[in-house]
Amino acid sequence: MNLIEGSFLHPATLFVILALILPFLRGGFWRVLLFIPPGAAIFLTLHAHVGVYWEVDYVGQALVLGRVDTLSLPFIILFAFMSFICTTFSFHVRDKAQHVAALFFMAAAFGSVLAGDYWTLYMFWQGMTVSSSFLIWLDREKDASKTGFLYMMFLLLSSVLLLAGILLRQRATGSFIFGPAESHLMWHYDYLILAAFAINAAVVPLHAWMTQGLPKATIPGAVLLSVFGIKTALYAMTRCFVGLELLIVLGAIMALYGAVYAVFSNNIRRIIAYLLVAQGGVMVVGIGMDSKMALDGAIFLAYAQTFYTALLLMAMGSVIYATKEELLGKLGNLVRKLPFVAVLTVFGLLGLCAVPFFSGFPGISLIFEEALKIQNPISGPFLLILLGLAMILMLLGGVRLSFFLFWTKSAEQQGHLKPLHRNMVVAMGMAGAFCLVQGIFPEVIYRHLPYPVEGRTFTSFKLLIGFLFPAAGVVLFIFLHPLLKPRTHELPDFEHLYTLVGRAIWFGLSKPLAWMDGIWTEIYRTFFLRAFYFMSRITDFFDRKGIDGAVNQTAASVMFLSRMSTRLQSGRLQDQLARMMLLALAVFALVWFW
Amino acid sequence: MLEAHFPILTCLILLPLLGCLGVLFLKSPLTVRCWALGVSLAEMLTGLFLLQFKMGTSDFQFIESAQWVSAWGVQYFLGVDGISVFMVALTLLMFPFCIICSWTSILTRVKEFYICLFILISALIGVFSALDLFLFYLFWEAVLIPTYLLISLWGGRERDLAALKFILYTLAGSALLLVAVIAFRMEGGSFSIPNLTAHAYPVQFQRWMFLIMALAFAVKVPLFPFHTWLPAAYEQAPVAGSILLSAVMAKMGAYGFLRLGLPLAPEAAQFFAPLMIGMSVCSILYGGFLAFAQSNLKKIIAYSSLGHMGFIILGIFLFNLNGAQGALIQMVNHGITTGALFAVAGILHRRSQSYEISGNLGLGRYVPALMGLWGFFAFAGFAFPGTNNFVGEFLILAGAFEKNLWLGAVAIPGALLAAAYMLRPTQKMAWGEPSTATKWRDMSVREWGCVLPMAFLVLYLGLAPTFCLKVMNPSLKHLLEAFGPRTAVTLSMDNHFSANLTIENGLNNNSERGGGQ
Repeated sequence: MNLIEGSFLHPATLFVILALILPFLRGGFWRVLLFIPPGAAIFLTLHAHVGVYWEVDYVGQALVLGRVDTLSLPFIILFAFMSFICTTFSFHVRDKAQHVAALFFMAAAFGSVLAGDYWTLYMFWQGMTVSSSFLIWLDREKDASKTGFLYMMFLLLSSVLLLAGILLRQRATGSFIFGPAESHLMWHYDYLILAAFAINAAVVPLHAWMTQGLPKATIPGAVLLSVFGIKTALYAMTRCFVGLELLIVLGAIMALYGAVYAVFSNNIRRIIAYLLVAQGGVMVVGIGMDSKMALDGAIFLAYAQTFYTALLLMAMGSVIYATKEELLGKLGNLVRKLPFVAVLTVFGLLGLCAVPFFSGFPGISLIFEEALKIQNPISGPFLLILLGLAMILMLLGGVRLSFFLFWTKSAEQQGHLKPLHRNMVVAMGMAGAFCLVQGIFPEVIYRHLPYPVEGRTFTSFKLLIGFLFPAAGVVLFIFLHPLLKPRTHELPDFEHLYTLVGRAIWFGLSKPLAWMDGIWTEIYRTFFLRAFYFMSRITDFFDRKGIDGAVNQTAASVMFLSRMSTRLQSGRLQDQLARMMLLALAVFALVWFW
Repeated sequence: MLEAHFPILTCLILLPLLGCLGVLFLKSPLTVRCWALGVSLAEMLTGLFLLQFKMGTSDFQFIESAQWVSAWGVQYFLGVDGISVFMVALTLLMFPFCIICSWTSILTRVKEFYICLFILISALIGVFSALDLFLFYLFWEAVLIPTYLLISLWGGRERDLAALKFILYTLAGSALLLVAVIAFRMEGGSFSIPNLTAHAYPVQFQRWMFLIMALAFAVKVPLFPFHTWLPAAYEQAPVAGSILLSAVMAKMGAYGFLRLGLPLAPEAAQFFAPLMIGMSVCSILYGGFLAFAQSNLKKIIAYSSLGHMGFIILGIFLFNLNGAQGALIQMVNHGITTGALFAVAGILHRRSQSYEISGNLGLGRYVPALMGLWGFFAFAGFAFPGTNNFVGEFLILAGAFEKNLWLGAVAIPGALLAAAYMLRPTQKMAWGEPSTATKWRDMSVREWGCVLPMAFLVLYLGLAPTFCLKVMNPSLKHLLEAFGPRTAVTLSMDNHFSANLTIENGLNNNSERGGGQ
C-alpha cells in the first residue's frame, strides 16, 4: 500500500479552508483559487479506497468522518465532478459571499455522504441547511429573503426530526452507526429519520420548499441546490431504506405530481424544479424496490439526472441572466439569440426524457425493467403504467418548456440581451458532454455502481420503447399545445399550506401567548402592585398615626408636664416650703396606709 | 477538601471592592473606565490561579476557612469544585466584557456605575464560592442592591418599574430562602454546606425545604410562571446589566439547585422532579413562542433566555449524567452566547438608537461584519453544530430521551422554535428594506476586541468541549451518586420530654413512612 492508498484527505477539507480565508483575500486572483478544491476533490475521490477514516472522539461519542464504501464512493465522485462544473459556471460572480456559501454547501454535502455515524451526518446536514439557505438569500431580492426563511425553517424541521430519530435510535439500539434500517421492521425512530430524509429529498407533500426555493436562488445557487441538496438526501435514503415498499408508493406519487405541475408551471426554473421532483420520484421507486438492479438503476439515474438537471438549470439561469426575465409567457424566440443554450437545453431534455444514447436512458430502463417484476405494494404492470405516464408528462413539460422558450414568438419584445460569460457556456458544454458520454458509454458509470449490471443496455426492445416514448410525447404535445400555453399564474401548491401553518402558529400561539403574557404583566402591575402600594399606604398611615403617634404623644405629654413644671417655679421660699411639706405629708400617708 | 496555599477566592472577592475604593479618587470618566478595565483584567489574571484546579476529584479545592460568628456557627468558608469553578470562571469572563460593552453607553454617573458593577461582581463570585450557607445567603442578597441600582439609574425609559418588579420578585423568593437557611442550621447543626450535605434529613422536612428553596431559585432562573420580571428587567437594564442578568445572575438559580436543592434534599428533589420538569418544558416552549412574537431584540434574547434556562433546569432534574453534564456546560455556553448577543444588540443600538427590528434593517450590505457577528451568535443561539450551545443541548436531549421517550419528544420542538425566533429577526436585519444602515460604520477596534473573544469561545467550546467535561465529571458523578440510597434519620418521640433517634435504612422505607413515626 503506497502513501496515497493508505492515507485519506477528506474532500471537504479544502472547500472549508478556502471558504474561511476567501473573505480576507484581496485582488482579482482569488477567483482562480476557486478551482483548487474541486480539482483536488476529483483527484482524491478517484484515488479513494474503501475504508473507514478520520475517527474522532467528540463528547464521548466516536464520530466517523470518512467512510468510503461502494455506496458512498460513486456519490463523492459525482459530487467532485459537479463541483468543478458548478465552480466553472459561477466563475464570473464577483460576490465573495455567494462563493463562500457555495464552498460550505459543497463541503457539507461531501461530509454528509462520507459520514459513518448519525452524529456526523447530523452536523453536516445542518451545515447544508444553513449554507443552502444563503444561496437563496444572497439573491438579495425581497421575495428571496422571505422564501429563504421558509426554506430554512422547513429544512430545520428535517434536522429536528433527524435529531429526534437519532436520539431515539440510540436509546433503543445503543448505536449511532449510520446504516440500513430493517425495511420489514421499521420502528418509530426509523420513520422519524425517513421523514427527515424525505423532506430533503422533496418527497410530496414535503417538496414545496424546493419548488419555491430553487427559482428564488441565485443563478449558480440553483444549480448547486439541485446537485448537492437532493442527491445527498437520496444517498441517505439509499443508505438506510433500500427495499422499503413505502418508497415505491411515495416515489410514484412524486413522479406523477412533479410531472403534472411541470406541465402547467410558468416559471422556467420552477418547471425544472418540478421535473427534478418527478425524476426524484423515479429514483425513490428504484430505492424502494428490493432489487440490486433497481438500486443500480437509481444510482445511475442519480448520476445522469445530476448532469442533465444541472445543465437545464444552467441553461435557464443563462436565459434569466441574459433577458432578466423568468416567466415563460414573457419569453420566446430565443433560439436565434441564444442558439448554444437552446441546443444544450434540448440535450438536457433528451437526457431527462430517457431518449436512447442520452444519459437518462440506462438508469430509467433498469428501473422500469425491475418495476415490472414487483408485486407489492403495487403490481408491477400498474407501477409501470404510472411511471410511464409520469415520463410522458415529463416529456410534455420538457417539450413545452423548450418550445415556448426558444421556438415561439414571445408576446413581449426582448431587447438587446446581456451577453453570457464564457465560463457559463463552458460549464454548460461540459455538462452536455457528460450527458452524451454517459448515454453512449454507460459502462463509464457502471463501474462505479455497487453491483455489476446484468444484461445489455441497448437491446432492440429497449431502444424501441426508448424512442417510442419521446415520439409519443412530441405527438401529444402537437395536439395539446394550445392548452399548454404559458399562463400568468402558478398552480397552487403546498407552500400555501406551509404558510398557513406558520401563520396559524404565529396568530394562534405566539401572538396570543404574548398577549396573555402582557395581560399577566398588566394584572401584576394593576392588581398586585396597586395592592402592594395600598398595603404600603396603610402601613405608612399606621406607622405615622399609630406607632409614631403613640411615640409623639408620649413626647408631647412629657413636654406638657415640663411646661407645667416650669410654671410651678415661682422663686419664693414660702411656696417651695409649702410644697415640700405637702409632698412630705403625701409620702408619709402613702407609707403609713400602704 | 484541598486547602488553598494562597487565598485566591478571597482575592477574587476583594479585588473588585478595592477597585471601588480606587474609583472614588478618580475624576474624569475616561480615567474611571480605564481603571475599571484594569481592575477587571487584573481580576481575570488573578483568576488564572484557578487553572491549578486538580481534575479527577470531586473534592472542594482552594479552601479558605475562618471562624466568623462562632456563637451562631457561621464561618467564612470558601471553596470551589467542578461545578462552581465554571461559574466563577464565567463571572470573571463577563467582568471585562461588561466594562468594554459599557464604554460609550454610560455617560452619566460613571463612577457610581462602575462601583455598582464591582460590588455586583464581588457578590457573584461570593455566591459561587461560598461553602457556608449563611455566607451564601449574604452574597445572594448582596447581588440585589447593585442590580437594582444598575437598572433604576442607568436603564431605559421604564426602568423604575422594571427595577421594582425585579427586586420585589427576587426579595420574595430570598425571604423564603432565609427560612430554609435557618431551618437547615437547626436541623443539621451547622451552616457548613459540606457538613449539611453529609447529613440526612426527614423526608417531610426535605420536601418543605426543597419547595422553599425551589421557589427562590425558580424566581432567579427564572422558570415559568415566575418569569414576568424577566422581559422588563432585561429590556430596561443597560447593556452591562442585561449581560450580567442573563449570563451570570440567571445561573445563580440553577447553581442553587445544584449546590443546595439536590444535595440537601435529594428525596424531595426526586419527588418534585415531575413538577420541575413540567415547569422546565413549559419554559422551553413558552419562552420560544413568546420570543417568536417579539419585535424588540432585547426581548427576543430575554425570552430565548427563558427557553434556554428551561433546558438547563430540565437537564438538572433528569438525574442522569448526560443531563447534568448538559445542564452545567449549557450554563457556561448560554452565558457566553447570550452575553454576546446582548453586546451586539448594544452595538446596534449605538448606531440606530433602537432595539426594534424595524430600526435595524438591511444591515448585510452596509455593515457586513456586524451583521455577520449577529448571525454567528444567532446560529450559536439555536445550537448549530460546531457551536457551544450544540454540546449542551445535545447532552440534555440525550439525557431526556434516556429518561423518557415522551419527555425528549416534548422538549425537542424547543430546538426548532429557537431556530425560528433567531432566524426571523436575523433575516430581516440582514436583508430587510429599506435599509437603516446606509450611513453606518462597521465594527470599530474596541467592538471587535469586545466580541471576538466570545466568538472564539463559542467555537472552541463547540468543537473541543472535552476538557470542560473532564473537569466537571467527578463533581457531577458525586452529586448523582449522592442520590443513591442514603441513611435517613427519623425522630421517634417516646414521651413529651425526650426523643429517641431511630435509624432507618434506605430511601424506599423512608418514603413510605414519611418524616416521623
